[in-house]
Amino acid sequence: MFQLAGFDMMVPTPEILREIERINDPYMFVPWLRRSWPGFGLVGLAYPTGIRDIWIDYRQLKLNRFYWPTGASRWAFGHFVCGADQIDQIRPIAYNKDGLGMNAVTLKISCPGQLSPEILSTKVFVLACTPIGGLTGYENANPPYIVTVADDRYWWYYKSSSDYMIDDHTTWIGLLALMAGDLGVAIIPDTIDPDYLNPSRGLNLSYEYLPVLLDAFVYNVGHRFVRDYDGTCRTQGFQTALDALKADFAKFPQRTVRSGGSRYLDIS
Amino acid sequence: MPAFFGIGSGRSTVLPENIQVRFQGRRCTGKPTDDPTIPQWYLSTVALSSLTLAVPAVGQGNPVGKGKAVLKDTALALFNVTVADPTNKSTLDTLAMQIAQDMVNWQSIEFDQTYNGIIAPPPNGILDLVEWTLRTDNVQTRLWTSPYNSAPEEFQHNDGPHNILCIDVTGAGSQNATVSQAPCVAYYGPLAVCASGSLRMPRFKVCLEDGRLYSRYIQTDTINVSG
Repeated sequence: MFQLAGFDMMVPTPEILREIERINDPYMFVPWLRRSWPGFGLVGLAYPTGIRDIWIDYRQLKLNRFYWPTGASRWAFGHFVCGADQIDQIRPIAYNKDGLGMNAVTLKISCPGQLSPEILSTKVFVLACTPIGGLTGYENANPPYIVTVADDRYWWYYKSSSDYMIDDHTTWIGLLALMAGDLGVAIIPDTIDPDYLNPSRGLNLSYEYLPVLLDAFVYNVGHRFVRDYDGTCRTQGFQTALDALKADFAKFPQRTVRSGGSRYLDIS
Repeated sequence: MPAFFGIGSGRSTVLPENIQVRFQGRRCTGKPTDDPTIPQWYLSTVALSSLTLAVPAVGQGNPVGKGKAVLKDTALALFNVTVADPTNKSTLDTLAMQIAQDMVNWQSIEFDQTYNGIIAPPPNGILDLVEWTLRTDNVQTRLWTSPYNSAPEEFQHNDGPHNILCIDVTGAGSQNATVSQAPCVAYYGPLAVCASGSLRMPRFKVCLEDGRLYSRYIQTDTINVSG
């Protein structure tokens, strides 16, 4: 099952995908680029020294894949091929009937035929759709489009930080509450080890990109920022994450590995 | 249960033997002219062997690492003149230990694994990225952890309770004047003037705000000159 806004979506053949990817540079359907530098105020913040290629080089992107990253400053997204008739169905729901308002719609993916009873279901926003020209063999009545979806984090770059008045008495929990207030989203904190002391005034960066500051916050307390499929946001310490991951895999023993493995696995 | 909850000897190749955290020094006693005697940095070094591995070592034992990773932290090392160690040494050492511990913890699991069909593991700090592929010839879910070398190197901590106790002074005796404007520093600037037998000196405050240094006028101090 592959549904967007309650409508069944096309699952294209490899030939169609290859043809679209061959004649169209992904920049046509990627409405964002990663900043080439963080900006003056954000230099020196706690931030990963390396991230996955798809966040740096859009040419790594492939069609009909949906990505869900950890963190506040990256967002979930996917670019899916569909027909114009499907676009006509989705648009009135995604943008309101006047074409202006934006509504989160449900993306639902499952694959019961392959021994996986799990269903991915989450709310996404449908960004402006991309018409695909240059293809042969398509009916004029139903030309192909690429529909791009993103989760709520896509909009977080339009949220900025305020003056948090950080001083020697400011606590990490207090600062997180202020950041969550600026974001307009509740954030459930994991336990912050008191050895992490207090936040530095170096985090008091007014009018900066809030998601980057949020990620810096969690790295400073040894956590990671997690947004669940239902929109719940939380910070997660390593042990909490490890326990949750183990519990999840124990819950679904029928998952079957196709390829890959661990870098550190002792296979002896 | 997948097999990636374990540690093999390969982990030694991606970890340093020591993790060092650099803290900037700050003078808390004495005169400004004593500053050269205050160390510019305090370095706290954590040996990999001193850390507790959150994921138990199996098979071929604990990683040993090689070399030294240097991390930078904004927490200040507070020095008294003529004393070698900062007054908040134990606090900074504990902070460095915690930073190193978490850095190694998050690096302790790394995998890239693809599953048949659609699986929906709840988002998790260990899963850097989940990718679902939907094609007629391939429906799969791929899980990635963070790259092993992606750990942050800059940190923004503050030893608030100890900072409050660190008060800069300009001198000693009757000319002693507190210039601390924590978390800022006060200084005298232009234009000092002599008038009616007294010296009037404008006092300013310099602060690090939004990554920039800002200086603002506070008040003018008057020193009466006698004799």
